[in-house]
Amino acid sequence: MKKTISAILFSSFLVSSLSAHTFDAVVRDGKGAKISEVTLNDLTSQNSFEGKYFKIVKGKDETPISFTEKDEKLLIKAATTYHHLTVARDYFVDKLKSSYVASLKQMTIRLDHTNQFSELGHYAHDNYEPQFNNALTIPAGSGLASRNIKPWEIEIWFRPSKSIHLNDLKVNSLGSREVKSLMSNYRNQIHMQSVQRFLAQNVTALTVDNMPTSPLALDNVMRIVGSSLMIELGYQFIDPLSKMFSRKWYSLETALVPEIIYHEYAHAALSDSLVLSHSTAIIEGMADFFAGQIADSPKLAMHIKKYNTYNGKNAKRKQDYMIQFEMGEYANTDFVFGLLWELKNILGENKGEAFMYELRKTLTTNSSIRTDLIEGIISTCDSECDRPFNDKIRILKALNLRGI
Amino acid sequence: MKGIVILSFWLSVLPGMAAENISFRNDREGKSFYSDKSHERDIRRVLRRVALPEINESFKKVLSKLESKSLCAYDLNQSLKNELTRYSNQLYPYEGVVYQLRKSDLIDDVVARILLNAQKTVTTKLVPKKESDIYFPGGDNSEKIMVLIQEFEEKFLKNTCFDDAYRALYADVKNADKELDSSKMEAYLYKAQKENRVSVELYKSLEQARVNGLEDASLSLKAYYQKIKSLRTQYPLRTNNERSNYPTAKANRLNMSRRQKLYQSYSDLQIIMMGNIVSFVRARLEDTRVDLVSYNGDEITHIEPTTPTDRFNYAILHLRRQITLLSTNTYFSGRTPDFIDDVLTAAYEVGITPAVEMDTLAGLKDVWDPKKSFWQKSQMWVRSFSSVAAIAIPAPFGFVPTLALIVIEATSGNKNKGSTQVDPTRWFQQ
Repeated sequence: MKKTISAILFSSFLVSSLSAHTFDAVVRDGKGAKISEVTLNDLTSQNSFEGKYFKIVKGKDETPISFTEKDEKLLIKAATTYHHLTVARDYFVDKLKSSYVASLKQMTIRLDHTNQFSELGHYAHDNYEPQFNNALTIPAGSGLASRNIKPWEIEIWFRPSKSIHLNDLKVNSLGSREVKSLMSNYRNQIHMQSVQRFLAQNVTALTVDNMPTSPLALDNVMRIVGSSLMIELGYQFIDPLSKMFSRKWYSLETALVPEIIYHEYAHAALSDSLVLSHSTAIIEGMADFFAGQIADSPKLAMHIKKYNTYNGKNAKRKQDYMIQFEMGEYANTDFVFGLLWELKNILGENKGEAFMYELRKTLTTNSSIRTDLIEGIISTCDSECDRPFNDKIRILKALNLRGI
Repeated sequence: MKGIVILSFWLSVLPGMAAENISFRNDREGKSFYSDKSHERDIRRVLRRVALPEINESFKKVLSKLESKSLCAYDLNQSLKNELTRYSNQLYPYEGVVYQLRKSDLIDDVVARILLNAQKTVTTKLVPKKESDIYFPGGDNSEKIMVLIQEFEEKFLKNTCFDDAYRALYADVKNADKELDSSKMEAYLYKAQKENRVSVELYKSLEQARVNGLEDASLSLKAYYQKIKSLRTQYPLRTNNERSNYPTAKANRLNMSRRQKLYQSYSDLQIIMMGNIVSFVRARLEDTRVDLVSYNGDEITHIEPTTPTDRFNYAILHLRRQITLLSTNTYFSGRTPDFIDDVLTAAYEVGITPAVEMDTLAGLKDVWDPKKSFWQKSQMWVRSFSSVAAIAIPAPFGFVPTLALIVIEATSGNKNKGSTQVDPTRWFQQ
């Protein structure tokens, strides 16, 4: 009898120790997103968002968010992050067979967290430049015993969203340069066309008798000059004009965008080779790639305007290499993402995925695109490609076309 | 001891004295150049009259009687036809027999073309001529030329194949008449036949040769056999099972395959030289490091490493350079071979490049000569007409074609860097 009771208690303990609950979370629905019921697995708590692999907390708290949390938005964020982090973890463990990820300790996921990161103190001062519209994966730290700062494991921090006016945004100028170049081309064409039309009309007037209108007539001159003048004004005032017609307020709720959650987890999963010290093109590009793989989409954080009014990332955007991409301030462009996605398609879907995962071993956080990344791709191909010579040529051709 | 020496001598000499086994078996080509519907139809028509084993056996039998010194496509065709009459007297297209032999891999496309050309020559229907239509050139050497034609069989045809003999005749006639052309040759042959210097049959053969332009350099069976034997001796194939469709693909702007063009246009030495270019470039593509080294006298002053794509571009530039330098080689006499049709096919032929790499290496040409999309090709026309439309359409509607032009230029296909856009951060650019 005692044995039976013990057996029943033990099995119920086992069942209850890893339980599943259903919650509303943001999930992808085709191209867009919707709130849908999801089942959260591997939960170790019966009443809070704490599981075997993730603990969801608010800000600097260590207590996991309760299932009965009154703030509905926070509840959805907790469920969304827990769900998608589980998906990401399963991808690395089950599909890529990552022993590193399988061995990772429970990760603390901080929602609505505004503090900056401090390598020594864990958090920078509360008043020091609070962060919004962003997400961050921080490396583990040993803490500072003298200041009662306990050691911490790898964590992911999701900042709250905040509407920021267009004028306060710092954007890189690469995109606008392309638009300006096009406008400049258009302006030059229009001016040339106006001059040519005027000359053609004058030549016609000299050769043809009794032309209905003189090319020097005021209305004709005004029409020609006016069209050129309009384009010139448009070109000169392109910046204020584009601002006038652009969206004014921008915000990003990172905890509710699935691909951003995947991206952050990918940072953690790749941290055995790509140390989480600072943002570079390589580390961001690799994380983007695996986020795309998990989401099964070349587009990240797009078609989800409710939670993201910024531009997302698109691996299929045709971009040529620019030396500026090596710089830290351009780390979040989607060039490396697009490059890796293209190479994956060259090698084949399955082979390409495994290839990219192996590629991380040849890279460091500070690797450059043009030299280290390409050398890494070539050396990985020597060991991973079915036909190394053929595949390397195809890869190098593709890279050459991108101007690397 | 003396016996051993004599025995060794005979053992070394006897194999050479034994009859050489002539073989034209296909050992490199994949899908035949002669494999479309019309060729298959001819094969079916033949197989209704003669069975496949009979065709193959007949060919092997004819081949076994041939000697390398006297390989003639015309004689081979005739012997095969004679052999096949044992099985069927009914009419069938002989071309179908050749296509079937190719399908059975007993011959390759090059031999097939030689046999088909020979067949075409002897079956050319001649248009009856009126004497009033023929203008005889006359001249001091006309009698000499008549004698040459009269002595054709005795002097030229005795120990050579018909096509070689005709070429030799043509060359001698041209020596006598420097302005010889096809119409003049027609007149000479006609006169020779009229004066009974040659039989009607011989006249017919010579006229058929003239109509088919046999005097132009064309690959004979003997010449091909010698080339292939030389190549296989110097570059024995690692495997006899390797096949590729690359050499049997159509050569650019010619009605023949790449391999047919290769053997028709180049000697075995030229083929080897072209193949070696690919071997050299392949090694450059496999290089793991390329440095630019600066010297002051003997002292190294600076070493500049290059990036992987710089190395790639360097290898491509090397390839282009090597191909261009070939034209300065005395064996090529100013002729620059084509990378796709000639150089790569040569590399495959001598076994330097395996079949699986052919398409990848051919793709290298896109680096310096990228394929243009439909939009890129039509850009020139769109630009021209849009410019005219932009002027002709009254303001302010002239915006529209100009805007269309800008949009097309901005969005059309992959941007082609080309040599006009120099990136100063790259060492080597095409």
